[in-house]
Parts: sequence; C-alpha cells; structure tokens
Amino acid sequence: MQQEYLLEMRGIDKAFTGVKALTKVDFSVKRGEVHALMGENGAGKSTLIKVLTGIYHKDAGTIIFDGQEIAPKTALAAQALGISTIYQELNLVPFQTVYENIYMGREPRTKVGTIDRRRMIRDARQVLEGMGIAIDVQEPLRRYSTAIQQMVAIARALTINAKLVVMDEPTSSLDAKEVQVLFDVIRRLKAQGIAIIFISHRLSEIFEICERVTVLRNGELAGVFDIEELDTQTLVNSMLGRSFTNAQRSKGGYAYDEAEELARLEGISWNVRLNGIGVDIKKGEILGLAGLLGSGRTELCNILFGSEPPDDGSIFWLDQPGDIRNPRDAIRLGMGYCTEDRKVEGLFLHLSVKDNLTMAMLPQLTKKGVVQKKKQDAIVQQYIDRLKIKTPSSEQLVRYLSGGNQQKVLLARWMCMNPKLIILDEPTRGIDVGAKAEIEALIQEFSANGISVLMISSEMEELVRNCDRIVVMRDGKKLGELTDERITMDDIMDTISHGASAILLAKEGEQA
Amino acid sequence: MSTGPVNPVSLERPPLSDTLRKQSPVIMLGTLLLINAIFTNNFFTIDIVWLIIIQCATIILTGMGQTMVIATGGIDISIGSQMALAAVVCANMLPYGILPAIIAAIIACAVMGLISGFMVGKLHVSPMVVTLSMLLFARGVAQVINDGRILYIDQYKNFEFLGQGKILGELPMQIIPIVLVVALVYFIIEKTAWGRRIQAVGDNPTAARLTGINATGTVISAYVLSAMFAAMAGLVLVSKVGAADGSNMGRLAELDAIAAVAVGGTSMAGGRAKVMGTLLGAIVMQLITITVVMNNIQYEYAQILKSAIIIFAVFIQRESRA
Amino acid sequence: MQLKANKSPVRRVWNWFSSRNTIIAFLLLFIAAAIMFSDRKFLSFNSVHNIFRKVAQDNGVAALGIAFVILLGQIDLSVGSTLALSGVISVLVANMGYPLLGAAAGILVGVVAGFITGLMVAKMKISSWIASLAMMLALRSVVLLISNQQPIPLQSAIFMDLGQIKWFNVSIMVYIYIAILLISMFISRHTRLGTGLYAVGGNEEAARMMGLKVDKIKILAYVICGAICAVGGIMMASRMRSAQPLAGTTWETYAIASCALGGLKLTGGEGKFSGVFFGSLIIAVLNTMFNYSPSINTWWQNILMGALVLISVGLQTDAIKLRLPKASKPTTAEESK
Repeated sequence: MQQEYLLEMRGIDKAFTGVKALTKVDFSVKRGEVHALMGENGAGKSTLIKVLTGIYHKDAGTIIFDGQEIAPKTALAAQALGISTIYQELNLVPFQTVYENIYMGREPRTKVGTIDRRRMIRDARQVLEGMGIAIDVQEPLRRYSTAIQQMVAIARALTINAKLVVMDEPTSSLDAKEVQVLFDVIRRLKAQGIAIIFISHRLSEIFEICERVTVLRNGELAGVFDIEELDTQTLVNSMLGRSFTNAQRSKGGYAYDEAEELARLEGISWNVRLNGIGVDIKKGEILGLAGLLGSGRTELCNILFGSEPPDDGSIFWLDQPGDIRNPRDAIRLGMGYCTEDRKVEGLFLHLSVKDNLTMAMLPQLTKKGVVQKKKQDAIVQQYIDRLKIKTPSSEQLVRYLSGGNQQKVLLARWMCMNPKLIILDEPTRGIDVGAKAEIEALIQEFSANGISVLMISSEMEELVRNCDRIVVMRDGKKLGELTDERITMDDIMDTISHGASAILLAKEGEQA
Repeated sequence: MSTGPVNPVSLERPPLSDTLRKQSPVIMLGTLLLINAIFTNNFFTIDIVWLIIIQCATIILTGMGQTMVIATGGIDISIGSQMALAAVVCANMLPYGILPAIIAAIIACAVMGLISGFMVGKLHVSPMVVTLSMLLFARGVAQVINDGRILYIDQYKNFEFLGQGKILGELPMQIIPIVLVVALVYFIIEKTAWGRRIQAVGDNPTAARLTGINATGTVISAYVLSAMFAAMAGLVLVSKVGAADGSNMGRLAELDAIAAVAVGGTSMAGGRAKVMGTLLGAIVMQLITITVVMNNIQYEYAQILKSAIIIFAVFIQRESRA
Repeated sequence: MQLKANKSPVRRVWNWFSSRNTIIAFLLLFIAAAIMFSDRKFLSFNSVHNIFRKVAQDNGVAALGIAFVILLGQIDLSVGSTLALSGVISVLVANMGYPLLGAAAGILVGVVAGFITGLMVAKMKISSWIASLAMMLALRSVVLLISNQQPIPLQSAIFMDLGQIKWFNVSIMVYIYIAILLISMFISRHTRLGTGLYAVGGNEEAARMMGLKVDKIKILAYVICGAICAVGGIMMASRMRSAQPLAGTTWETYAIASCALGGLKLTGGEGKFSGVFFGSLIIAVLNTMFNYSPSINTWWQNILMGALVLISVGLQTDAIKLRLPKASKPTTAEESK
C-alpha cells in the first residue's frame, strides 16, 4: 500500500548564524501532483527547497520521502533518492550536445568500455519524444532556447528516475508560447505519476497548472490550499500577510498640482521582463514600486539608471530626451542607485568606509587628480555622524561593518553627490529594526530636501509608510497608481490581485 | 530568487590571521635577514645595501607596474619582453641623443601596453592570453629591430653612467628611478582618485560601473603605466650591462615581478594594491638570490625557492578572499 | 510539438565555416606557400614530410598535451620545462644501460610534474596560470641543476637509433605524433574522462552537480598533459642525440597558439583535437615559409605568432561574436503531433 504523500516535511527548522530562516515548517506533496510553493522574498521558499535537495542541512524536523526518512547530505545524494531540481541557472553544459547533457556522468558503455553514443542518441531521442519534444539531440545545447534547455534538464531528471521534480521559477524567462510547451510536459510527467514542486511568481500560472498551493511567509507556514477553493485575493493576502493593521503613514499629502516632473519613462520594454511600461517621477516625491517578485521593478530601475539599454521605449529627464547610455550618464544627470544586492553590486569589500563612501564623488573631491584629503575626511565624517554609521574609524574596511551600516555607507555615497533622484532597491533588506527606522527617516529627509526617491520594497508596510505615490506592477506592466488616502495595504493588495485576476480573466477569454 | 541569509556581523574585528597575512612580507624579510646573519659571512656591510639597490632596481620598477595591473584584477606577463624592447629601442636611438632615446623607448612600450590594455579592458579577453601574446609580440619586435644581434653601447659613457654611476659618494644611480617610481605609484594608489578607481575596478567591476567609473579607461591606464615602468626597468638594465640583447634581456622578469607583488600582499584576485608590500617583496626576492650566491649555492636553488614562495604567497592571499 | 534549431542559410554557411576555419586557413596558407615556393618544390614529398616532421618534433606534441588542460579552461605553462626535465632524466637513465627504463622514468617525471600542478590547481585552488608559471620556473631550475647547464650526450645506441628510424620513408617521429593524436582523439570522444573534460570546461558547477568528480578530472588532465610532454621530451632527446637543458623554452606559447588557432576555446569546453592538429600544421607551414624566404627576417616569427594568438583569441570573445547572426532562438514549427 502506497502512502498518499510522496513527500512529507514536518517541523523543519533552519537558522543561519542565529537568524531564523525556517520555523516549524510543514510541507507535503502528494504523488503525481503539481504543488505550488509560494512566498515573497525572504519567506523561506528557497531555504526549504535547499533543505530538501541537500544543499542546506535542517536544524530540526523530519523529511519522509517515499515512505522513508531521508536526510540528504548533498544535491547529488538527493538526486540519487529521486529528487531532481531544475534550477533557474540551468546546470547543464552549453557546448555539449543535448544527448551528452542528458547522460553526462552516467554514460552507457559498449562491451569494450567506450561510450555508447549510438545508444545515448537513441535513448535521448526516445525520452524527449515521450515528453512531446522532437529536437535534434546531436546539436550543442546552446543552439536551443532556454525553454528547450529546460526540457533537456527535465529529460535528464527523468532518466535518473526522478519521483519528484523541483522547478525553481522555470517560467521566469519564457514567453507565453514556451510556457505552454512547459505545461504540456508537466502534464505528461503528472500522468506518469511524477510529483512536481512548482515555484513561480506568476499567479495565473499557479492557477493554471497547480493542484495545491503552500504559502510561506517570514519563514513560517502561512497556509495550504486546494486550488479549487482558492481565489487570487486569498492567495495574495496570505503571501503578503495582514498582520499589520494598516501601517502608519509618516507623510501627509503631496502637492501634486504644483509638482514638476523630474523623469519620465515611456513604453519601456526589455527582454520578457518589461512590456511597454510607463512611469513618471515628480520632483521631491517618494514614488514606490509595488508588485510581487518578478514583476519587473528592479529591471525598470536598471534601465532608468542606464545599466541596461531598453529594447524599446524612451526616457525623459526634466522633459528632455535623456541620453542615458551608461550609469555615468545617469550620475551626471543627478541620479544615485542603491542596488538590491549590496555585496555583489554596491560595495567594494576590500576598500575602507571612506573610499566606499566617496567613490562616486571622487571627481568633485580631486584637484588635478589628487584627492583632497581634508575635504574628503570632512565629508566622510559629516556623513558618518549624520547617518550614525557605526564604525571604529573611516579607515575600517567596509566588509567588517554590519548590514545596516553598509547600507548607510551606500546611501551616503549618493547623498553626498547632492542628487536629484535616488533609486532604492530594497533599502532595508537584511537590516535590523533599529537601522530600518533610521533609513526610513532618511528617505523622508531626502524628500523634504526636494530629492525624489524611487523605491522598491517587498515589505508593503514600508511602502505604505513612506511613499507619496505607489505604482503597482505585474509582469512588466503597470496595473495601477495609488495616491493619498488610497495608499493602504488593502489597496495595494487589491490592485495586485485584481489586476492579476483581470489578466487571468483575459487569458481565459483567449482560450475560450 | 531570494538571496541567502543575512550574516549579522556587528563591528567584527579583522581576524588575527588577517594581521599575520598583512605582515607576511615583513616576516619573510626578517627571516631572510636572520638566516643571513647566521650563515652568511660579511653580510651586514654597506656594500650589500648598494648591491641590493642595484640588483633590485628592475624588480622594483616592474613590480610597481605589476602591482597596479594586478590590483585591477589582471596580470601582465609581457613585461620581460617590454624591457627588452625598451633596451633595443633605446640602444638604436642613442645616436640621436640620450633623452630622445629614453623617450622613444618609453613610448614604444606604452604603445604595447595600450594594445594589451585595450584587449583586456575593452574586448574583455583574458589578461593572461593577451599578455602572453604580447610577450611574443614585443620580443619579436625587439629582435627584428636588432636583427637578433646584441648591440653594444659602451661608447655612450653618459648613458652608461645612468646604470653604473654613483651619486653622493657611494649611492648607486639606480636609487633615482627606484625612489621616483615607488613614490609615484604610492602617490597614485594612496592619494589620487585614479588609484582608488584602479582598486575599485579590481574589487568589484559591477559596483564600479554602477558608481560611474570608466572601467575600460582605468584598466587601460594600468597596463600602459605598467609597460612604461617596464621600459624604465629595461633602460636601467641596458645602461648597467652596456649592451642591448633583444633575444634574452628581461627573460622571466615577469616572474620576479609577480612574485614580488604576491609576497607583498597584493591579492591576485584584484582590489588591493600594496605598494610598500611590493617594495618589500622585491627586496625579499633579491635577498634570496644574494643569500644563495653568497653561500656558494647554485642559483637554480634560488629559482626553485622563489617558485615555492610564489605558490605559498598566492595561497595565503587566496584565503582572505572569502 | 516540434522545435528545431534555427538553420537559416546564412547561419548554416557560417556554422560550416566557423567549424572548419582552421582547415580552411591551413589550406589557403598551404596553397599560398605552394605557389610562392614552387621553385623550391614545396609540393614535393620531402617538403610535405618536413612539415609533418616539424609538427611532430617541434611543438605539436606539447600542443596535444596542453589541449587537455585548455579543454578544462585551465592552462599549463610548464609544458616546455616538463619536456626538458623528462628528456634529461630519460637520457641519464638510458645512459646507465637501461633504455626502456629511461623512457619509463622520463614519462614518470612528466606524470609526477602534471600531478603536482593538478593538485595545486584542483585542491589548493590556485589559478592555473600562477601554479604552472611557478612549475615552469621550478622544473627548469631542476633541469639546469641536474644537467649542470650542459647538454647531456646520449650514449644508448637503441635510443639514438630510434630517432633515425623511417618506415616507408616517413620518420618515426611522425608516427609517434599521429599515435598520440589518435589516442587523444579517442580519449576525448569515447571515454568518460573525455566527456568529463568538456563538461568541466563548459560549466564546472553543472559538472559537479551531475556527479562528476571534478577534482579528479582536473588532476588527470594535468597528468595526461605531463605524460604527453614527457614523450615529446624523449623524442627530442633521441633526435638530438642529447638532452638539452634549454629544450622547449617558449614552447608553451607555440602550443597555446596551436590550440587557439585550432579553435579550442581558451575558456574551456569547446574544441577538437583535429583542430589542434591543423593549428600545429599552420604554425609549421608558416615556419617553413619563413625559412624559405631569405628576404624576411626570421625574427618576424615571434611578432607574427603573438599577433596570431591575439587575433585568434580575440575572435573568440563575445565582444566580436555579438555582431554575428544570433543562433540561440529556435523557431517553433507547427504542431506536428
């Protein structure tokens, strides 16, 4: 007698150096079901998956897979047990052929011990045909689109007898047609009794392909739903949480009538992430970009800052066509950009607080190329005091600072430039509560001084507390704009979900 | 997807091993001096100091350029050939005067550095491959100019004075380029915006771009400067030897330079430039040679020891970049 | 549902060209040489044989060795030094009266040298450039110490004769080279190690996730490289009738040039041994052309070689590739099922 559940994870705890990432999470997947795992950034989805696939090791709890308790030590061990993961960053070798990728490391051999290519080609073709994919398996993998590469990864999982396939945002870089191909494959796998954990931020996809949904929030289980009983509103509420009764707004009305426009983006398209979105930013306002993960918020900021050229659309700065071809142009116009990932995109970890703080400002601090030390020190000290940056000295290497203080250094880097616009992507991510409040106060200060702020945050309360206006985004499009008294948690979530259901309805209309 | 867990480091102090690593050139120098104090007769004399200055000059000069290139996250293994090129160009230009000869040599190498820098900074070709080709290319140019022969320049006594003369009594002439270049590089790295940018590009190219730094230009400038210092090293060498040999001058000089940088504590991964460390590293390298020679040990043992030190130095620097 | 790789005519012509451009370059060069030096009987058996012998005797063997490492996306600058050390050791042992043991000792030296470099790269995670640069210096110093900087004359008769043997008028060196070439092609094509090399070079992380023993593959590649270079060193000693302490200096650059010209991606994961063969041929033909042209200064060779590596590697970078027609997007054909 087979158990109903293929996978049962019970009471999973996981902490990183004292910070709880997962608290008593239960998660179970039935045989042959497509199960969505949902949650915002930091909700613990990826930690849970990594515990399941052996990349992290759980602190407490049990994992029962196929009737046996397991504790995989490595991804390889998990694979051997029948748990395969299809990552966003595909773990395949692009220069190798399709069939080589499928059988890499487990090549069948002939009697004399050489690799049996003929058999590999035959088998690979068979497996892919079983999935409804007919491609030339002897072509190098990189000749094919991401969608096909994913199919190959799935084919590889099938040939190692996977019982459970984890798909980590498989649709994030696929277009609509390719998504349908993927869904066809998923349905076939399901018919073969293979269970699938499906991670995606596109609600319409969840409703289309999944049978059950598990939602995580802040490392805890927020709910398990059958898809039939679930509507978008409940799902969004469950993901974002209603624990806060509308956050206190720290700002009153912004005088839009008198406000001049600072920047305007029109019809911006990029990759599959942005689809003809238009946004304008007024002088001195705090504009929030709300939306679920993957809605294209960061991409929009990258384009405004000249870090990525848009495929289509135009940018205006003070009503002039903005010639922004690289970040240098953007900085010259008066922009500053604090990126989401401080360590990867912001900090110079081997340089001092002083150097990090003044890196963008150096051209103004130098006289004939020589850094004017007194002027530099004065500015650095001024900002260390003003932002209360906790560091033993300005010479301390920035990597020894805490996350909150590192973020303050980056804020100071742009503040000292007297910018017109500061772009903040998740400014309070990974920062303790005290520092969070300080940074929010700073954001208000910017605005009071006439500096515009474009802000992304996954914490809705933060947007509600701070923004004068909120643009709600989904799938690279603008769903709506909220101002004044409409800036509430409820309104944001309603816009996200109604917008979402509107899109869903439109899709259903197409199919009918 | 979501990023990893946040590591709540609060005002963490640099670990002890970091401090030890930082002091490793001093420790190595101390060890070498100690060994010499015990085993080498007549080691602590003023003549040894002059000897070190004379023999160290090329390593210090090339090491300074290499420090800047490595700080950008690159490497330049063509400097030995650049030295030869500078020597040959200079020797051929000497009939037109000393100053034109020196300038021509430096310009010739700067052009080579410009090519390397462009390939690395603009076309993003691996710096090793680029400078390996440049190693062949510059050597070839030097050989073609000299037709593979050795050009003697002993008739230009004024020029030879640059390499063999002494100033202020006993002080060798080499002290002048050493002081000039070390001071210049130290000044660039520590005092100028340019120096900050060089380290920023090597530390985090993405962040550098987003901070508005012209990464391409910064990288190119480092290679050009490195080539110019290599040219000066070549000039020092040719004036000391009195002959320009396009085929053999400066062979393996890049090894000494890289070793000096590695021993000096500059991370091979880029982002840090320890100018004084390189200076110490160069002295350590030269001291190894002197120690071996003064104790009548074959020079090859010094080479083997040097290779081991390169590996060791790179290995311990590697760990600090977690 | 059927999805095909895009095979537009432009793309197809380009693919054909790009996968064979080494051969085409070689043929063009060869024809040019044949016309330029028709008075010197460039197309005669002797002249062609000479070109092949050049490949076998000069850097062709080292190129095959280094190709194993380059496929991994690594480098081995110590090939020349390994070759010299193997030569010296094998001659010393052969001179004691054990020619076979001498050859074995020579190869063992290559294997050990490769193993050490491999360890530094795979286990100590030191950049292969730095690790092999240090090895190059250290091994060369050992050679100079052992040989006392003098050539060591070969006294073993068998060993000496080996270098002079000809079958069907073709030097045994050519046969040995072709044997190594065929074995290399076999390993790369038909063994798990071969596919492992390509996998690690193409995407190391993926290879690890696929269960390949990445460190082992890396070390093995260096060991094979060392062993092949050792054979090259023994061949050289036998041909020169002595072990030269400076044998193989700067050969690493020529070997890398052969690989780059032969279409091996220096970042790893792509390329064929047949390409390396043609890359070596190109260099040999160029070499011959230089020798035949008294008007051209032989020193131009270095310049040309440096420029060739720069150009062939420069062509591999994305900066230039971006301007070619895109190959990535497949066309989705009509539903066929």
